[in-house]
Amino acid sequence: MKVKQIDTEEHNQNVSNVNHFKEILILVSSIFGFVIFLYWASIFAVDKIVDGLTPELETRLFNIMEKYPTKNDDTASNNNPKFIKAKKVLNSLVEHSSLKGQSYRLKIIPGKDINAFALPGNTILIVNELLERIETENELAMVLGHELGHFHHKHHLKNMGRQFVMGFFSMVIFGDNNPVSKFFLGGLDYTEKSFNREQESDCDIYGAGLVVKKYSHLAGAFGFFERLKKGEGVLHKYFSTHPISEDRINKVKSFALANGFSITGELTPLEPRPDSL
Amino acid sequence: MEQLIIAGVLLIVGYGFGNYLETRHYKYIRLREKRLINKPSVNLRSAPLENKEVISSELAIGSTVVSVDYFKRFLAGLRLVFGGRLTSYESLLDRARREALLRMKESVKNADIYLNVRIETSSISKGRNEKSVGSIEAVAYSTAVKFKEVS
Repeated sequence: MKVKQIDTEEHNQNVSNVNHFKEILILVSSIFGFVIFLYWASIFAVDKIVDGLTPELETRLFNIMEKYPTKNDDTASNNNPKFIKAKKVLNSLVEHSSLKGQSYRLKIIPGKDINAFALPGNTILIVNELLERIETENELAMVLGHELGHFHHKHHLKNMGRQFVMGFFSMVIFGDNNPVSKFFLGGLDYTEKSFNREQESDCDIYGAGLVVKKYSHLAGAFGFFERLKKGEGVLHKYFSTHPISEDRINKVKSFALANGFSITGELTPLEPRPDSL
Repeated sequence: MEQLIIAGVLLIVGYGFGNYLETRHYKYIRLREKRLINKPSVNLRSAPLENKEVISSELAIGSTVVSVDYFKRFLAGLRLVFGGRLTSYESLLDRARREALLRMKESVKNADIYLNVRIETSSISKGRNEKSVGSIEAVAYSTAVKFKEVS
């Protein structure tokens, strides 16, 4: 018997001659279409559920937050004059808002970010750095009013629902260790950031409304944004969850102009004036 | 956004390097296959002797481990959703099998024929943890037979 070895150079039947780029394009488009459809359908459902959630039910559901206090030392916070002031301003703003009758917890968390968070369970977290940079009571009211805006629009619950949906989709469809999930999560994260920026603008308007109700003018409400503007780079608007400060200032000014609110007036200092003591 | 950029960079790097290394590997495989084409490897248990006298027989064994690039893993990940042929892994297995066969032949260079050839493939990484690598090992083994030269 004659044994002949096959030369595989001419044709390799074990490897398909396919264009992997074309294959990846078709598969990615199909998955994107399918996932986006399901994702938005789920988001719509989550938003509807959140809209129907009463404040009482929310408080009951998220009372668990009380059992897990933040790492900060409450005693130290209570001795911080800015924190004490913030609590007073917050309570006063709540009385002027659509959230009247509800109680909100304010906590300081350590950190260098200039940020504050509205969390389920009527909790507002302020990063220490933000509190340190605030110079007037009007600025403080704008920041707290903005956070109350998140509660008014139920953004804290909607965002939580969205994050749950995102995580669920990623895990169920791709598994937790699939490179595809990183890619899709990145894409969804980008769309979420644009959604967050819209939310932040809505809250700025809500916060500005509360500041006007409390002080009868919007003077000082932009001071904080003016200082933030200086530290923002060109790419800030693409990577941040918040709109660029210039846009925020312009939107609030347009809101003031449209409603006839004054943007000038007397600023209230954080510390009481010596002559008023 | 950061995840999107990282995934995009990994895809481009994976495709570029993966393609380059695969082309180079295939080139090397073909070169050696041509050189060893006159040394048949068969899965017959007994030799087609044709009255030849066997002067030696020994175990020939060759193994290799090949890993897949990020681009192909990504493509395979997409395939897991829809099903169908995992074309991106075909070349990985093909290269591993052929490389193992070549190494098997090279392990006993003076043999005239390799009988009872067996190829086994196993996955190097199992499980779903973050550090798992998509690689396979192919082992080829056979009985390398040397015939007495007829003068």
